[in-house]
Amino acid sequence: MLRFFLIFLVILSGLFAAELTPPGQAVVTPWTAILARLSVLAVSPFDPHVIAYGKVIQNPSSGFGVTIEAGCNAVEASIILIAAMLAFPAPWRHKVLGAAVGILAVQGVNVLRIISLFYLGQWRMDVFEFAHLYLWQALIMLDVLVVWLIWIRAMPMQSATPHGA
Amino acid sequence: MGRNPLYAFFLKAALWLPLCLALWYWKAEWFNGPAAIVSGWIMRGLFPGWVQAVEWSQRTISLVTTLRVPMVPGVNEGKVAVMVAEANPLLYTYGLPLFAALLLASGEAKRWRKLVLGALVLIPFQAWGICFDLLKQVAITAGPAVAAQTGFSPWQRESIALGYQLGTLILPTVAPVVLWLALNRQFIPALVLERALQGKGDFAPPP
Repeated sequence: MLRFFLIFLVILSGLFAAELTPPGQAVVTPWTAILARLSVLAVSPFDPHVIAYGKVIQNPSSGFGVTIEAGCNAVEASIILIAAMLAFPAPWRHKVLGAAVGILAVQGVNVLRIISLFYLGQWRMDVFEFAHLYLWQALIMLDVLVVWLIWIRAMPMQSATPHGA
Repeated sequence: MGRNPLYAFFLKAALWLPLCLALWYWKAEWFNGPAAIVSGWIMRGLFPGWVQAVEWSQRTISLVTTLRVPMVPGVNEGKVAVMVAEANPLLYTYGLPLFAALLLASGEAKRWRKLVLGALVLIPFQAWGICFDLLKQVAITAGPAVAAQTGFSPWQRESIALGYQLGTLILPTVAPVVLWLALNRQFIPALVLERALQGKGDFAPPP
């Protein structure tokens, strides 16, 4: 367990530091803009007036908009998941597949978060604040944990021994 | 084939989380008090030269400094303004209800003892976030005129920025989950064992 935690912390620190560098931001910034467009695409069937520009989602009629900042693009959540999968003893194929599917799962829930916050903000700002700053942050981490646990449980039988973890 | 125990765990955690968050938010003064007090001790202890007082009330921690804020020329001539940084400790302590929800959902023994222990262990991580938030405001956000009075070198300011990012984006969520896993070491081996036993049950017995 201690070995797992140490490897996890080393990988997490490395990935997090890499995210903050200019090359890391060169990936994160366009990704955040894509996330804004994906969110608009998801709501367009029932709310076609919503628009996205850059990392902003806006309702042009009310003027209300939300901007997707660091911590809201689930990049850190994905980094935490990748670090946990890489640190856990498992076949490389399982790690790569798990990271790919896991990131999709985390980002999918994050699109739900962005959409829900966009509408909560138009309804009540105090509820938006609570959901934005605390509830969704915790839920996304819970999502990461559950994805990681499902990944562990789905490990090929011959390698599913918790040695060193 | 049996039911996946993770579904029950996830459902319980998802139900406990809003309840724990609501209680934590309602009684924020109680649950955030320890981290705010420890942050005050740290700031006063590390920077006695410019920290005058640290005040904690309701949902705001205020750092009163002796650092002078430059005045706009022609406005309030002859008066002196000092820097007061404010932070919301709740941004760094919401890991406590997450930890509580995980502990209650996993239904393990000695959960109340572990809850108290976990709440104590989380305090340094919460204080990390609060202190770096206040430091970031003083050393970076307030501008070069205020930062120059603190004596921070450029690399110290870079470290403050990194510490702030870590304390905001990583520690509030990672610390409670790592702590929960550390206090609940049987969870993953039990999960693997349960999967292995279930896998055996899936195969037909040899003729």
